[in-house]
Amino acid sequence: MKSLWKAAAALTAIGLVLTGCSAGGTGGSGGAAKLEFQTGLATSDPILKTLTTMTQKFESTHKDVSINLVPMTNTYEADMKVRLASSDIPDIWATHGWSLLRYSDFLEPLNKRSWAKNFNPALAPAMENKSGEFFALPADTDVAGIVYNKKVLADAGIDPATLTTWDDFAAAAAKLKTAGVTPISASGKDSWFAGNIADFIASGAVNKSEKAGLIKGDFASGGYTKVLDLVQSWQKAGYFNADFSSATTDDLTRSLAQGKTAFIFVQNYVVASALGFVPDAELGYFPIPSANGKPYLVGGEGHAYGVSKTSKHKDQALEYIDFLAQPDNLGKLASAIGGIPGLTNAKSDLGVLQASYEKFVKPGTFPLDPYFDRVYLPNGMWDTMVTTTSGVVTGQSGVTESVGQVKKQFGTLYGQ
Amino acid sequence: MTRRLGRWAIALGLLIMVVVQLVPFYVALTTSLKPRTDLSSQWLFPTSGLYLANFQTAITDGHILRAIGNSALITVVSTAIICLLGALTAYPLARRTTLGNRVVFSAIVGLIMIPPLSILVPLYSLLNQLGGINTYWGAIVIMVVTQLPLSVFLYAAFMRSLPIAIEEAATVDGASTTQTLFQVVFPMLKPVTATVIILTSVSIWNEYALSVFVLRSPDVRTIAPTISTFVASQGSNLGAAAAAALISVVPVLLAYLVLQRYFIKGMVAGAEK
Repeated sequence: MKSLWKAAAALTAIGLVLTGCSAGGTGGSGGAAKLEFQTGLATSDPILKTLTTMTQKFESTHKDVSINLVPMTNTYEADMKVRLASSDIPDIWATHGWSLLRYSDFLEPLNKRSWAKNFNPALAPAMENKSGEFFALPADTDVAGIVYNKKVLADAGIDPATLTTWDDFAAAAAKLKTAGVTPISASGKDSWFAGNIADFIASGAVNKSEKAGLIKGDFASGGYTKVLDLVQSWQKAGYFNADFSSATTDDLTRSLAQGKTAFIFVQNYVVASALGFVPDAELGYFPIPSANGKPYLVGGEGHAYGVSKTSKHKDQALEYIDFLAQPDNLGKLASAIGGIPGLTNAKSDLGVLQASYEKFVKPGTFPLDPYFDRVYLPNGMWDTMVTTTSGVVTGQSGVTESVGQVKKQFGTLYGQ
Repeated sequence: MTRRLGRWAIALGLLIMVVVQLVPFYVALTTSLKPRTDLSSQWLFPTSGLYLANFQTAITDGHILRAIGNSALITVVSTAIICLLGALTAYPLARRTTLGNRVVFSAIVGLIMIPPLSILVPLYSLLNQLGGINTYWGAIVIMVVTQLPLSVFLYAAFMRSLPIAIEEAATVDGASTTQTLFQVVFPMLKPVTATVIILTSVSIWNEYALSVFVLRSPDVRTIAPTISTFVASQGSNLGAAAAAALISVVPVLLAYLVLQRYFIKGMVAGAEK
């Protein structure tokens, strides 16, 4: 027994010496500046692979800079909140749609960089402040509609361009259900997905005067009731996937790629994931039908990267961002994302989504609305949107009580 | 006849329990051996040959071997410190039941009830100011602090059950308090030490909630946060995640197979009276 305690003490001492000598972090000692880049991407994400190749190229010409591309889990958003609250801020990080509203106080303005003149004007409403400053390099311009399986719709004789009202959409869903396809797939397990459905519909369901009221802090329930009424009508008609509560986003993209699902309300980046399951799947997207007029697309900031204004290595970080902003590099990044480049002088390969882009985006006939929650709802409303929509999809809560919950939370958060 | 039926029932029950325990490993194995494009059921093994690229991805991109080393280091050092500090703390609390000690004991045990995530931001800020983020010692401090209350509770409860006459005899023979503690009490703590080692080392080995925030750099990440980097909100690589999980099970399995005699001995040591 005595020897056991001695062994434990020796082991502890050795461990403490070992651990005392080791330290991670982003220190700048030893000559080379070590930059931390929080990518928010999974380890084997194709976008991370593209970024890694580019970073190696940058490091080969900048021997004094070393960039640590950190992959992250699905706790990325929480991790960033904790780090900002604790003043442990990475040098560069992915802003996941929030460069202006959430992160701009912590980020260096980039509108004076040489490439800023090529900033895609379509991103201005979402990424620029009133002084014309923007705070992240946009790798792509997020343009989203309802993602669909082309073959499934063609087999059912449905032309997505004709789905201009929610009645058209419901009729198509009924037809698809009869054909044995799940009309709409959504995820209750991934705690963001259901919010997307409400967000996509709300831009067209909430009218202009209601939107003006929201900005002033008045929540008129009419528009949001329309949103959840629609969701409830689909739920009652059985248009949602039966495994809503347990399905992950990966399950949905797989189902879409296999032709078991017709529509999903999500951004285009999931197409890359779907093609990972079925490489020759025929997918596209179409404008969202409106409750108050013309169909529209939603969008704004997609993948974008900002530099901390308090970084010890700000100059090197900005140099790296300038490198990523070179047309060739940005084009490659946007291609890996499967999106339209965030800078006008870059070109990307949109792959299977090229046809949808040519038909619905390029002509400029469909308006591009910003994401509803980012413009009209106070910060923190997203979780309520997700839980209330999930409640309606599962049939666990009614429209009136869900809208009441949204209204109550709006009042609380707007006051803050 | 009835006895034979009973035996069969027990055997069947055990078989069901074994199957239930092994199902997750089976699914992990089938998932890890298939490419993403193999859309067959997860209950089936791949029909077109084994696909080992997921294991390669887990090792080269996910750095799972490094993570296993990190987990082993943090678990061994933390567990040793927890046993030592737990026993030292518990002794006076168990033997000197003054009002002050009772309050201290209640306060320590009360800490078990605090969910670690509820103190995340202040804990993270403090550790950041101390330079402990992304370091082994930072993770070890957190593991020790979060597991110590349970260890103190277990040691104190066990020490109270030991006959005080042995310590009194040692004192009569001229042993000081320190000698009594190290030479008389500690040798009797073998059974509870085995329990503490098993409970705390398993918790630390599997810890995720705090490690994912404190150990972000791939150089120091432990197993659970490393596996989770294959699962992001925008897209996941479940094949590689399953492969990484299976690789990380191997050292634990080997350790158990080699040491199972000691494990079982440690678990039943307290039963011998």
